[in-house]
Amino acid sequence: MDTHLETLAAWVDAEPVQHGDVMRALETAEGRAYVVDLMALRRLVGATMPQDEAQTVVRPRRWRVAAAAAAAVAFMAGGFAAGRLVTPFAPAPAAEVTPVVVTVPTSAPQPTRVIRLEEGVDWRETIGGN
Amino acid sequence: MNPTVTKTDRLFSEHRQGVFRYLCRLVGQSEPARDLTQEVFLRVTRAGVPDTDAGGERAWVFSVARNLGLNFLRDGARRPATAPMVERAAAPTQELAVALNQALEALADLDRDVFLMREVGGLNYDEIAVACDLTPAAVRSRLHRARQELRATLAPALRRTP
Repeated sequence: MDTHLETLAAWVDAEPVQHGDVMRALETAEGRAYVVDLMALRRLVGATMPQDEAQTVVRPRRWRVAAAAAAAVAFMAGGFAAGRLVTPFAPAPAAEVTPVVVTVPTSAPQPTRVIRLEEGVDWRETIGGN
Repeated sequence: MNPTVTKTDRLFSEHRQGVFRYLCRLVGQSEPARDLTQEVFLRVTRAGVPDTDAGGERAWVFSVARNLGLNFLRDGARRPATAPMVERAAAPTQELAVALNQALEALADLDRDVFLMREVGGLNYDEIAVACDLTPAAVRSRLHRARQELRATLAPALRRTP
């Protein structure tokens, strides 16, 4: 009987087997039960399989990034709340707005006083310097 | 382009998950299995990939993994542990995981290796024969024996498999 079951196991494992041998083995109740149990065993192994390596590597990184972001937000919120508690919040008074009128002159202003300088009175011509 | 690097990269991408899962089952803990998986492909890179077909390459990678896993167990004098593997299982399957791990522990070492290489690693009989230094007929016989023992031990669990 073991030969029949080994044939069925090889057939389940996609190993080369004789078609007639498989048919004869499946004609027995024990053979059919064996195939069912092999498939259940395979599913059991698959269902209890550890997580993929890639997932186990990536997941902690995602978790750490999320934790770091949450910690940063909590830190900033805590700092803001502490600042509010230490310094009573008072809204700044509204600044008075004074309109500023800028006039742009279109030409130079007229002189209010004219100074005239005369030679011999206000300055002298000399030769050779000094 | 370095052909050895390319081959190693390909082997890593194709067999990393299988090797990791196989080692998880073999040593019973995911953290050492992750380290051992890295070590496997480090050795593959150092040693160079043998000039063989895809099946031969897979068998060779798993033989490296098997040797490293057995060395780990021998050095630590540890048997596959149950608890760490169960922690990662979903709640409904925890009980099944415990039962399966205990049943695997009860198998003969070589029978367990053959079973894990087939069911977890996905190797065919010829590849398992190369990796475990057996004949294909011996693989077939050991695989059948392992399954019969697991079937007997896990009969109630197999009826409840989700």
